[in-house]
Amino acid sequence: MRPPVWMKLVLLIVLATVMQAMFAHRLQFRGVQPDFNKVVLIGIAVNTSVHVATAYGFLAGWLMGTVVGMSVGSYLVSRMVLGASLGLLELRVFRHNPIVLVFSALTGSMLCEAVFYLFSPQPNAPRWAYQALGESVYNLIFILPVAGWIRRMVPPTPRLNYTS
Amino acid sequence: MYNLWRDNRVRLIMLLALAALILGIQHNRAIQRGATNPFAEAVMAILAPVQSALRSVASGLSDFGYGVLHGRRLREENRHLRQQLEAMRAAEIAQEELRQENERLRRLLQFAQSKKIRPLAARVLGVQPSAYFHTLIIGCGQADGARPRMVAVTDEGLVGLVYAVTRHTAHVLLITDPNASVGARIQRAESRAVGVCRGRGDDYLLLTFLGKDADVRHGDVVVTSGLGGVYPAGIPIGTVEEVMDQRQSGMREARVKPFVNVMQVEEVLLTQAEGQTS
Repeated sequence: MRPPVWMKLVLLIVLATVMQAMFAHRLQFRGVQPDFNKVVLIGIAVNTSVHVATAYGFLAGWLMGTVVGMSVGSYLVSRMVLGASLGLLELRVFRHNPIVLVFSALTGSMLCEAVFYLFSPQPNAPRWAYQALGESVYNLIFILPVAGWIRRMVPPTPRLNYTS
Repeated sequence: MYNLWRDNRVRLIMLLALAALILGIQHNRAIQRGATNPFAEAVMAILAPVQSALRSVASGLSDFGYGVLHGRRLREENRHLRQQLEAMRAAEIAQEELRQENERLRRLLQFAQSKKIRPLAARVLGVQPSAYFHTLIIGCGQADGARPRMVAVTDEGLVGLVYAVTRHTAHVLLITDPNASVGARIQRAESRAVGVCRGRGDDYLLLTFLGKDADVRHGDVVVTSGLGGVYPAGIPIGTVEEVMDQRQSGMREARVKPFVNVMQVEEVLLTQAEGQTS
C-alpha cells in the first residue's frame, strides 16, 4: 500500500526541517545559508491550492519555530503568508513554467522574510536585508529540482471557482 | 453572490490563523516563565530522534570520507595534537585566572566551590537552523537536569546560554547572536577592564561599555566577569583583535574573536553560576 500524498509531503517538511538544523550552516557562503524548510514549502505551494499551501505553511512554520526555539508566531505567520501567496498564483499564472516558478519563489521568499521582519524585528536591519535577499537567491538553486519532484507526487488540483 | 465565510477553504485558513495566534502566544508565555511548552515538546519528541539518527549517519559518512582522503594515521596524529593544544591553552588560561585570584586573595573559596558544580554533558543535535538566530539544539533536556539560564561551555570557552528547554532537548543562544550579551573582563592583571561582550551576528563579538581610558590591547584574553549573576566568572570568551574608539559616545570598543568555533561544536557542558537556582 502506498502512503497518501499528504503524508509524503508532511514527511518531506519534517525531513527538510531536520536537515535545516543539521546541515544548512555547513553550506554557508558569505554568511548566507539556504532554508530547506522554505524550499520544500515553496515546492508544495506552487503545486497546490491556496488553502492546502496555507496548511502546509502552518506546519512548516510551526516546525521551524520549534526548532529555532523562538519567534514561533513570526515563523507561523510568515510561512502561512508564503504558502497562501504562492497558492493563490494557481488562479493567476501558469506556475509550472520554470521562469515563472523561479520568479514566484524569489518574490514569495522575500515576502515571507518581510512578514517575518515585521513580526520579529531584527537588531541589525541592513544585515537582515542582506541575509534575506541572499537566502532567497540561494534557495533558487534548490527550487527547480524540489518543485519538479513534488509535482510528480501531487495530483493536479481542480481550478477553484470564486465567481459562483 | 459568493459568500466568503461559507467557503470551507476560507474557514480552514481562518482556523489556521487563529491556531497560529494561540501557538505564538503560548510559546512566548512558556519562554517568559522558563517553562516547557507542550506543543514544542511534542514536535521535538518527533524531531530529536530523526536528528540523532541523521547525525550518526552523517558522522559515519564524514569519517569514511576523511579516512579515505587523509589516512587513519594522519587523522589520529592531528586529533592528538589538536587535543593537546586545546588542553594546554585551556590550562594556561585557567592557571592565569587562578593565579590572579590567589594574588588578590579574594573569591578563592567561591572558586573552589564552583569546581564542585557537576556539569551536564550534552551532544549537539543541530546548529543555527535560522540565519537570523545563532542557536544550538542540544540533546539534554529537563529530564537530564537542564534548566533555562544554564551556561553552555566547551574546554575552549564560552558557547552560550540555555533559553528554552523541553523534556529531552534544550536550545542554546550562542554568544555570537545579536541578542546575546555577556558581562566580560580583560584577563590581563594590569588591565582588568570590565565591559559587555555582545554578539554581532557574524563570527566576532563586540566588547562594549569599556571606559574611555580602558587598557585594552590587541591579543588580550577576554573572560566572563561574573557580574550579573548569570555567567560564572573566569570562563574564557575570546581574544581582542581590534580596539576602536567611539567618537560619539567617547567609549572604547573592541572586536573579539571567540575561542569557540560555534559552527564546529559537537558536545557542550552545561553549568550555572553560583547562587542560581534550578
